[in-house]
Amino acid sequence: MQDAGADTHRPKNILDALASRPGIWLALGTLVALCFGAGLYTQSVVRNLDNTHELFEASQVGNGYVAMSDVQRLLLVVQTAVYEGEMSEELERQFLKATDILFVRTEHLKGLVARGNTTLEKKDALEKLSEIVEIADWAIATEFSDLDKLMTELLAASEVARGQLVQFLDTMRRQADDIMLKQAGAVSKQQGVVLFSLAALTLAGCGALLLLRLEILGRRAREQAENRVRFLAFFDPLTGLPNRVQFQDRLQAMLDEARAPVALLSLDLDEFKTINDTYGHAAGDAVLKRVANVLKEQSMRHDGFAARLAGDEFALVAPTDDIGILTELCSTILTSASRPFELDGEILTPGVSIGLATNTQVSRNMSSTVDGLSRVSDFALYASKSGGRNRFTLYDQELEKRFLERRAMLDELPKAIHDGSLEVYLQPKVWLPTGKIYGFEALVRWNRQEQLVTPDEFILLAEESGLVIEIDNFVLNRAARLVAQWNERHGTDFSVSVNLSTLHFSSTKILKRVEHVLWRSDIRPDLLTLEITESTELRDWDHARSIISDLRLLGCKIAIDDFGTGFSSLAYLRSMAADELKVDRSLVEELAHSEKARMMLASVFEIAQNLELAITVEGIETPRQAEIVNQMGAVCAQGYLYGRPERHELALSLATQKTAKLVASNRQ
Amino acid sequence: MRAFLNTIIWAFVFASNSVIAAELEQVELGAISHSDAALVVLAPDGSETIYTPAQLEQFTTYRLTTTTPWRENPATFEGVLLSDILEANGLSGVETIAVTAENDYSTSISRDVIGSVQILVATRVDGRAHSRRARGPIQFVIDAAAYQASELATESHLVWMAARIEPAD
Repeated sequence: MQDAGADTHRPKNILDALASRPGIWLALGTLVALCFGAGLYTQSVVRNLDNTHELFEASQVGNGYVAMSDVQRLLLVVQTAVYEGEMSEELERQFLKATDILFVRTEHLKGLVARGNTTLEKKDALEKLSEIVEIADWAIATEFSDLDKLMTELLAASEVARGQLVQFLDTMRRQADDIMLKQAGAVSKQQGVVLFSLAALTLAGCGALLLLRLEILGRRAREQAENRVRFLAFFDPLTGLPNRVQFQDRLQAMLDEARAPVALLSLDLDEFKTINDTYGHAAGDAVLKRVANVLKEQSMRHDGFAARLAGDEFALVAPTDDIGILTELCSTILTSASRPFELDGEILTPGVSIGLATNTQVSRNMSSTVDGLSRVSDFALYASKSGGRNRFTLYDQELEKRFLERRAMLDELPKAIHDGSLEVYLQPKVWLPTGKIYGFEALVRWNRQEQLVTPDEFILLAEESGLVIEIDNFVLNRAARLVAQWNERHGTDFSVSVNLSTLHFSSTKILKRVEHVLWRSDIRPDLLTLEITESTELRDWDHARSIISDLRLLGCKIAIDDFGTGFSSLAYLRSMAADELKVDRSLVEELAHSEKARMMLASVFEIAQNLELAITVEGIETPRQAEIVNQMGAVCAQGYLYGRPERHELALSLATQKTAKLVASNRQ
Repeated sequence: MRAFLNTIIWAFVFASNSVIAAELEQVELGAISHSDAALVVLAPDGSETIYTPAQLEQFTTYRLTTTTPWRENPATFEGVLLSDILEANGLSGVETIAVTAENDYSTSISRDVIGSVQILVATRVDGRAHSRRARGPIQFVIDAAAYQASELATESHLVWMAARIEPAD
């Protein structure tokens, strides 16, 4: 457990590593250090540039040029005066201004030199500039008495000053070149740092974006999965309709609303298994979707909802109890759903059966719950199915009466098994050539409220509720014990046949059950015949065949019952290793009047003979039928002609008496 | 703590502004004889106005006692505000003006600089007419304290022998 716990905290990918406390601090620290380093470097470069700028500004390099210009301005005035031969008033004004300007420049340079802000080789240049100013001042004082001399002296002094100023400017140029070179180097280095920083930040940014994308995609996938889970929790994935869970919640909410009318339509596809088996599951799915679409459309039109409850079971809920509207709704569904449609070249024609119930028509205790309303609408649906399919049935008073009766029987049946209400009746089976009763078929009867109920009325109910196995066990036990006891007491050797539901053949428990019955009743195994009927419930034939073989190993006989009805088939006949074939009464009814019926029965006899099966013909009611089947080669028969099912004491004593008479008559 | 620091800073700024305002006091100047000089102002519409020092003093005059980068000892300058001259010539809305001196020196002054410090166009020093040899007759002067405090004003704005003002391109 400790390891598992530790594993949940271990980073699974870089995202998890970054999301951890050390990871996020490390990443942030790296980014901050990178930015801080780049900032510091940039700051140092900017400081260098500022220093350079200050150096240029402090050196007052411009003063060199301006000083040369100032000297030139003064010389130009004197040159003009010499050319004109006199210092005119205007020229004198210009001369004064030029002198003043040069004076200020000279004083300015002196100030710079004093502060050490310039590399000007001071002495000569400054002295010469001062000398020029003095010459000019002297000329002003002497009112320009000798212009030629003034010109000569100014030229000599200015020549020296010019040379010094040129040297100063050249020095400054060299300094500027050096500084620019250093700056270029610094900028080049800075370029590298900036490029590195940008590359690192770009990489970090790209990484962050990729991680963000991963996180977003992961979150989106999680959300989709969660949405899918939520959807599957409440919707059917094939049709998109609400599933049973949502159906129950929504219907219960509607039923909880006081006085709100609610109609429930239970729907079931007709022959859906046949569609699946014949055209494949894709066709089955297409039919389900088509019916779902019809229901969705109709439910929305009536402000209700449709749901798929299971397999081919659907429901539609509408907030109304108007029978006219609901009848029209059912008719529309039947028409729309059973409209033929083409799928991969095949024409499919689905059929739907509908059971309709409203909460206002059903008794109070049934109408207020989903289960109650579902039961009655299912009952109406069952009535539709029984009535021929592709129709709807309204749960009305008549149906409610039947429903309540059915419910009562369902409630009472478990008790009846234990309180002796169920009784075993025996119907004789005779040996045709002699008419001797050699055995019986055990049939169950329910003595319910002083009325005898036949199996037709409650066995189907027992099969639906799962009670049929218990009933079969009761009959098996009871019949085997009664016949065994009778044989022992009266020296007879009657056999007994017991019907078993196909539900027994999905489990090997039946083997132990029969073994136990044989042991407890002490009946001879060859006198016990187990009758089975093929039905749609028997899906795993291989498993059933294996169980039948094991039952035969116990010594019992196996009979295939009701051969000739809709459920039996030749394939079934061939695959089951039985001892006896019981021909259904339906093949006997027309025997006296129909050549075809006789031919068909003859064929069955031939098949049975080829498969080495003994034949028992059921439903013999007239001597003529007995004569015909006898002539056709049948040796065993069963029917009202030989005896109806009777209480076991009566049946056994009658059979014993008949046997005794037969023996006596044979002696005579 | 932050509120306290803000209070200190604002108090300092307010006190500094008060000092600058007290230095630049408005004065009435008597007539004197000025050096021969002129300040040409070119308006945005292309018209030129030429001001002699005496004509400049027709604007409201002010007095400022301060040092300059070239004067160790304080001097009392008198003259008019550059902003008044610019306003009178429709240049107050111009982003940058160009100023040229008699010695052909030129510089540019932005509206931000003019808005941040008061620039006195001095025509007199210590009660006398400003001379060229004292960087006159027309000199741009900024109070030393305001100059030091300003991040925008530089020595290039302290134009001496100013001769022309015009809108910069």
